[in-house]
Amino acid sequence: MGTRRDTALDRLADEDLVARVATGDAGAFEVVYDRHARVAFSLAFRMLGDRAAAEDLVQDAFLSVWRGADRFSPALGSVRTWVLSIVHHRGIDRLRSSAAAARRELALQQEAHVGDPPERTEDRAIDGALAPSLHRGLDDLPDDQGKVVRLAYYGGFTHHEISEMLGLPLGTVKSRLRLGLERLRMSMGAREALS
Amino acid sequence: MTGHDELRELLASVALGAATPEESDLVARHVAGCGDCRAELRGLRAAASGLALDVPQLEVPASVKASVMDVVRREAAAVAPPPVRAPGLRERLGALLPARAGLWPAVAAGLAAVVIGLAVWGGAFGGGGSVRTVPGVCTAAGVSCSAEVRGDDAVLRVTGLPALPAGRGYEVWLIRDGRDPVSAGFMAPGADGRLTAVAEGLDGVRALAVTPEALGNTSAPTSSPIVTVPLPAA
Repeated sequence: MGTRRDTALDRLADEDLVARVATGDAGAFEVVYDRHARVAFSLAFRMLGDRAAAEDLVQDAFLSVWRGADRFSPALGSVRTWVLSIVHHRGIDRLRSSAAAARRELALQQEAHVGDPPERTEDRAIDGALAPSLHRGLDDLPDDQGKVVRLAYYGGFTHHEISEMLGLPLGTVKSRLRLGLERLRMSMGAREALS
Repeated sequence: MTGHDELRELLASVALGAATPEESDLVARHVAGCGDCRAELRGLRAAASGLALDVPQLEVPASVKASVMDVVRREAAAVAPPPVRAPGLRERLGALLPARAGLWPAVAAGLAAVVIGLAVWGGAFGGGGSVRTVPGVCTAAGVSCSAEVRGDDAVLRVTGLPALPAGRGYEVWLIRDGRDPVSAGFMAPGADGRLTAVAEGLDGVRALAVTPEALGNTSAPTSSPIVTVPLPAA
């Protein structure tokens, strides 16, 4: 959606908008929100599996963007990467605050296709983490790499937890994460340009 | 000591959020001085953020934007907020403030213009000037507070703040003699309950106070402060 009126702010690059946000420009912040809220919300929902929790996470993350815009550094990546990393890290915090042991057990059950359909938030989150991706990228990875990348990024599990869950040496998990992400970087090389 | 190759092996885990906080700190220190790893991490982070596009894209409810923008506009407007009378609050706040002649007299008309900067603060004061650390009064269990004051600027540091339910946050108030409390904005503590805020241009401000409030409220505190830090006279 987003048929926003055409203003001078709308024509600014993300980096210029964030520089204005750092000075307290609410109008510039609104443009940043309009550009990135949809993908942020979609990521939050994929991670948490619950609309209300995802809405709360997005609010929290964008207020962090508003209050911490002075910490954005273009040298570390695009505004979209920065915004999504805030959403992702806060989503991980929420996932990890739930019972870790229960999450691991549920993930293992779902990995083995055992158990009833998930109902609780953490069940849905793990289910979502292991679900096939929408289109490009992840589904092109070898299964062993795609699985660990999904568990890490969408499920919020550390490589130590993934190692324990899947009964793999930690080095193997790290190696699969690296190979998988490097392959994604090659296949999604144009993604950064979308921001 | 962790070597370059070992840290490089961690870059993907860091980009995916799968490293431990300790590992992430090690990598952060390493990439600060290693251009190759910094560039690689940037690329891996971009690839990781691309995974957010690899999920079904959903419309965000309009209420989310309305809620966010309400807070943002109020905080942006806090640079020169209008005075608002808050009957009864001065007694609740005043009981926790140092006894000073003239504190909480009748409401004065108007507010002197003041520039308030409030932000998440990652470091200490830059530049010169002496810094005084002032202890505060904390009424909530497990909460500690103090302020580092230099001239008209202060860094408020609070630890042990409990998490608040959705829709509520911690609001910082500026307390002046004879004036109603003025909101300096909402602050979100970190996951460890730590909140650090910078308040600038505090000439005439006698104390900083923190109350838990519904997000968006900037008119007046609705409860007694859980943190009050008196500021020394300049």
